Amino acid sequence: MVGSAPPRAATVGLATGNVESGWMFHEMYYALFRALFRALFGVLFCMLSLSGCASYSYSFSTVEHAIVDQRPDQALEVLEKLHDQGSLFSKADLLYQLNKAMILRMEDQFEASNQAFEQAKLLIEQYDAFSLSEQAGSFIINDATRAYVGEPFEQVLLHLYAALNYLQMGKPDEARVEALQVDQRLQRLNAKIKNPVYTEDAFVRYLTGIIYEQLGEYSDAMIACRKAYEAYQKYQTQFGVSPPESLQQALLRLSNQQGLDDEYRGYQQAFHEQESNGVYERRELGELVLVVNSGLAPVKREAGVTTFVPGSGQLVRVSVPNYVARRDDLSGISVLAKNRESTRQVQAHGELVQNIDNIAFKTLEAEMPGILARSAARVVAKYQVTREISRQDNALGILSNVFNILTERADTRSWLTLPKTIYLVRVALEPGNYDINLEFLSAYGLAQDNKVWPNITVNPGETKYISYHRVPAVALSESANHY
Amino acid sequence: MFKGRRYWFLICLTAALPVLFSACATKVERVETEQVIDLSGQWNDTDSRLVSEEMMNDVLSKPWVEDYVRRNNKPPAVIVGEVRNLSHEHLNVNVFLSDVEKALINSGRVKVVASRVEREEIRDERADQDINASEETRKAMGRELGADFMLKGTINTIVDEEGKKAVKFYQVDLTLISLVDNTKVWVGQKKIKKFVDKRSLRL
Repeated sequence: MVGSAPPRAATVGLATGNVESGWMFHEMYYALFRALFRALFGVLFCMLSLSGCASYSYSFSTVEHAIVDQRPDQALEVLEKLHDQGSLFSKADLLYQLNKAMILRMEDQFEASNQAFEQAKLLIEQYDAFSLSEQAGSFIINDATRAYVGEPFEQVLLHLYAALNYLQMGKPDEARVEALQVDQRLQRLNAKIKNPVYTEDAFVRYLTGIIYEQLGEYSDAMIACRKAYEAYQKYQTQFGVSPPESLQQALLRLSNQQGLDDEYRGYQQAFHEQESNGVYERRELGELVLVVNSGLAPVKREAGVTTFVPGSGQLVRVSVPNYVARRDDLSGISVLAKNRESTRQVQAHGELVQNIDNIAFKTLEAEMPGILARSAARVVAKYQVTREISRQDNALGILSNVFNILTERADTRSWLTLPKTIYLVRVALEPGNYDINLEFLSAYGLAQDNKVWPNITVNPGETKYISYHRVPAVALSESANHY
Repeated sequence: MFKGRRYWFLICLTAALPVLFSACATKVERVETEQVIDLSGQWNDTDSRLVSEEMMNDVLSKPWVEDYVRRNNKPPAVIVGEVRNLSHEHLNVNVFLSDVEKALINSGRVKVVASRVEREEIRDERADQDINASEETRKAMGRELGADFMLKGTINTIVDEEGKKAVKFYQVDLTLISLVDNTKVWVGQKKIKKFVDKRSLRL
């Protein structure tokens, strides 16, 4: 085992020193060896204390500042530097690709964004394989030495944003590929990780339903929407997000079209709705789907305890990550679509469809036993090693103890450019040209600022997608919510 | 204990280091385009070639061409429409479509008209000629050859996955549809099945 290599080497050095034959040679050898060992420790110590201190979530704040200033180009520049050669974080890092893709999306560079997402998918595939050296690193040093494969929800949300990129480029068939990959991804995750909290993503399923319906594949759309509804029922209790009304409408519409009479009646009773407009009536109209990504996802910080072990004089440290929510000043959105040719206008309110804050908190909560177990095992191993070294050489023992304390860091990596919450507006529009006015509502339901998309053409049977990332300045301050 | 075998091990390890590091350098090796190289198990050039070969052989060996010529005394005009990617992967369908188009044209038995995107560009050029080209060389508008058949298709996949193992099944369907009455005159199908055993260990 790699974990026990240094102390064994030290005891070996001593033992050989006691052998009678060639005593002088061995004594010299031992001195040399000890010097080398100390130097090696010193170098390792410097390197690791440097990398150990630079937690990803703190290093990332410059990128976040640029995003808040609505300067995605600058954010990208900073990100490139953060993952530059010679920097502490590598470009072969999943988070580099995910953040890059997200920032490119904010600049409406959908093609480039999807290239980065494809790279991210390859990295997930690659890092999914078990690595012995990284497991050893995680055992000796800390969890952050392992390649980051992303939380399950991060892996799924990657497909959401890739699909939105394709939809905004007007490539629904490519978005459909992402929809199929979502299915694959969830199957893979559920087969591997026994995390009962996040097994389905309601909003991502719902979006795949919208894609299938747009393509006229009503049975697939029905299945996706049904899965979304089931997931939202779980969301309601776990993440505080209830099934959006537009999904209820879709369920009524699709179950009726599919001739699923019992299910249709069930939905009518559940949603207290009698009639829904039919699939084909709706097809004569156009549709606007507006996705608003609000705020920033929670950030992982370190919570550590350092304490003396009575009797041995050794310091031990346990540190685990915890999520800290970020503030947001948005509590709803409202959309006004004004027809340019006539005076007709349609108003619609946005619905909360995803609460990434809650998903993140609950996921980490479910993973915590594993993280704690690994941390505890590491602490015990480090304690034993240090005790063994101290017995041979006190100075080395202290050095080893300091090394252990400094390297015991929590893994604070997460996809930080994800939003805090996602709002959705789905509105059927008569074909024509529209000015879309999106209003961001404060806690009192008042409009605080707005965003206008002029001259959006909606054709019959067409679904137009618009998405927007809103990151207010308050997102840089952390809220009192700690999990 | 540091004598003998351990020393040899260290010496061997040191000697092996340059060899190990040499593997990091980029190496390029040219291979034949027919050579089968499967890396990830995803759709690749070999799949595309197999599909186009199968389709090319099939489309011209079926009786629809002769039937058309006998009835109309002229070769049929075909337009290549959309092949929808309904698979799990973002794959490039244009590679085998251009192969199929090439086979149709080179057989000399079928006329192929330009696709929608190509036509736009040609019409622009014709409009430009209308103003700028000399009387003798100017090409008139409204004299395009309307297609008789449209080639359309889909690519579907079924993926069965369990742990590191996966079975991938691709089915490519191409259909030739008459623009007169929507009858399908030819259907081509190619199936590809792969077993992928993913790597479960890395350095």
